[in-house]
Amino acid sequence: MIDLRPSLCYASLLSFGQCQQVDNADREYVKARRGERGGITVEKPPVATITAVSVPFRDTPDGCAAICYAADLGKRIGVPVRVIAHIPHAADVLRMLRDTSASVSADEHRRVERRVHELVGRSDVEVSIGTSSFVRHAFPSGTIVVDNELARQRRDIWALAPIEEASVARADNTAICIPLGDDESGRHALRYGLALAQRLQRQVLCYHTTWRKPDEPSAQPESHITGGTRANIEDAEHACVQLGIGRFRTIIETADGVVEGIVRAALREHCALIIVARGLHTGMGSYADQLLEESPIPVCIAPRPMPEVSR
Amino acid sequence: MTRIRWSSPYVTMMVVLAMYVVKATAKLVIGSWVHSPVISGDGMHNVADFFEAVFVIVGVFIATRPPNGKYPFGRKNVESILEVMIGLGLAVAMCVVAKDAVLGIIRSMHAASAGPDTFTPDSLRMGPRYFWWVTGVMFVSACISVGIGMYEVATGKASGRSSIIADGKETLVDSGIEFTALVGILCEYRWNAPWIEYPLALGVAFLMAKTAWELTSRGLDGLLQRSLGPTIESALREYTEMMPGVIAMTGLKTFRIGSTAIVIAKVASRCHGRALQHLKRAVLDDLRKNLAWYGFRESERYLRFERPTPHRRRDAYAIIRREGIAAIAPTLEVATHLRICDVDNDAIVRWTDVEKPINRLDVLALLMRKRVQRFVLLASVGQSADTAVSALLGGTDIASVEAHTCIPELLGM
Repeated sequence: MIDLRPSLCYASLLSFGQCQQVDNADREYVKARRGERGGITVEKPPVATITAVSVPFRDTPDGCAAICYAADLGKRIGVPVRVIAHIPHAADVLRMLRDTSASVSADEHRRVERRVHELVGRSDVEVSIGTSSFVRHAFPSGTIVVDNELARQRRDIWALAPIEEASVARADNTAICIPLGDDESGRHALRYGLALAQRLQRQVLCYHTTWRKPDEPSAQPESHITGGTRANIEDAEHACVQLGIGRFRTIIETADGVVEGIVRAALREHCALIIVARGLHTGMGSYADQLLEESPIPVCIAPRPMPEVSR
Repeated sequence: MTRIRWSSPYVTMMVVLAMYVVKATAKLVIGSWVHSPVISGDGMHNVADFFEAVFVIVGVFIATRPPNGKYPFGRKNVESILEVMIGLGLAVAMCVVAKDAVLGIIRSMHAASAGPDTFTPDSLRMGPRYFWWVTGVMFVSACISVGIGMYEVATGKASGRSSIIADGKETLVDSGIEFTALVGILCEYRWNAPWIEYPLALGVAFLMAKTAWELTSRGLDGLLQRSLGPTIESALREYTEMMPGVIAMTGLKTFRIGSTAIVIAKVASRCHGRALQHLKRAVLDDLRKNLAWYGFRESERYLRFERPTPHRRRDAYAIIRREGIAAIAPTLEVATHLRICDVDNDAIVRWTDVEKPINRLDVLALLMRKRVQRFVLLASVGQSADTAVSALLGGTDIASVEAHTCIPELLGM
């Protein structure tokens, strides 16, 4: 492989957001790396690795829906599904029940396992009993954690809030919506979004809403987007081709509000999932948090620290 | 200079009026010149069509007026009334054509039995001098009817005006009559066999009857507010229930006012706040698209979201409570408290602890006093269930069920 510009790798352009402005030289470099010039080895775009799907056990309507969603997601992606039952004050509870001559830990495991298998209708879902709180639980890298509460509480995990859905998609031809901006969070979300789209074999819908340029007379939203956004969208499109994702579409709007625009476009286009990342420098009012409040569609939030990149 | 919008309903109807003026004039002049009752009759038919087109224009004008307090759905049903009128008019015309055709066949059969070449319409002027005028007028008229009829149907579909579609279909049927008359005239000239016109006219009468039935029943469907049919309703239901956040479409009423589809739906969802607003807008948009796909360019959708029907019950959990920590008890004997829970759609929404009475019968009395429907113990794993509880609850309406975890927090408490 010919390394044309060691100081600027393709991954940094697509994912890490080292450069805010993509100048012409960078664009040429990206084109070269894409193999648009002869004799260059084409590199696959970096996507996140999915190793497992985890879900906290809660025997409530929302908890049961999340377990069913996780089981469906794991089956479609082809990764193990782990249900973790958290026992707060475990020692005290176990002691209390041991007084009753029950072999508590093993029994609790069997009870939860029976319930989970009854819920999902299959027996390949792993169940474990955890004693540490989910707020501090260390999920292995590449694990998608399916839970509405954890998606709000934790920023270090790859969380998926199923909202109230019990399966990945109600219809088979649904898309995955990835909102893109001109900053690094969009590129970061793209890595996770593309990984899911590839594994779920879904179409990708890139959405961008832009503020109007005051000096631009055109009513076309495309005329108002920045160069960075345009570059991100092109990169996303190219990455989809590289990853063999069948269909890619872009919607550019000048919506009244960012979150409103995302949710409405995702509903309008029958998307099964919205994938976002929290902005690294956002102090208040993260779009991801707003989406969790406003979206009836499941929302997947990329973790803040970057996990290892699969090549 | 203002450009003419050929797809405008009014422009279309002006073209139709102009066509009827030209056709009626030409047919009445030629018909009286050659003494042909067929051509003159068709000319009179075109005069009637002219006034029908005027009614359609007036109908479209009234139907497109906006709704107000007096007419909350507007006056779109005027178009349904017009459809019924055109359908009935066509039915009357069909009866006349069919009657003439049957009488013509009978007369020609009588004439044939009397001898060859004896059946000739009275005082009909025939000859090369008239031939090209007669055939030319009828042929051009029939071709114009086809073109204008198709133009009307296309404009009616594009603008969603059912009365224009109905008028277009009627114009297309007219072209059939004109072609039949033309065939009759040609046969009259070529083989002196005008009777061929009559079987063909019977075929045209059949087409007229079919179109009349379609138009009248469609107009009546609109006037009587018949539903849009199970196909459309099931599609609307299916697409709405595919939307994330929608639990079910619990009620659906559809009907038509004029060419506008009206949908009144009830949707169950647990969404609230902004999510509900977004969902409502998306469902409305989806309904509009689906109705447009089924040919309803205009539609009014009325949507009411409601929470799912509440299924409430009261459960009692046997609890061991010590030092502020609680666990679900495996047997009634070891329980220290009974946790009385109000359950709404399988979610515990309220609970309160009551100290367990020492006497078993007092426990039962407490459960009955609290109107408990289900008594919950920790599920037994590899051990026999608490038979004492089953014996205690036997003969009551209280069901004995098992919890799948010993941790109350995991059950939503």
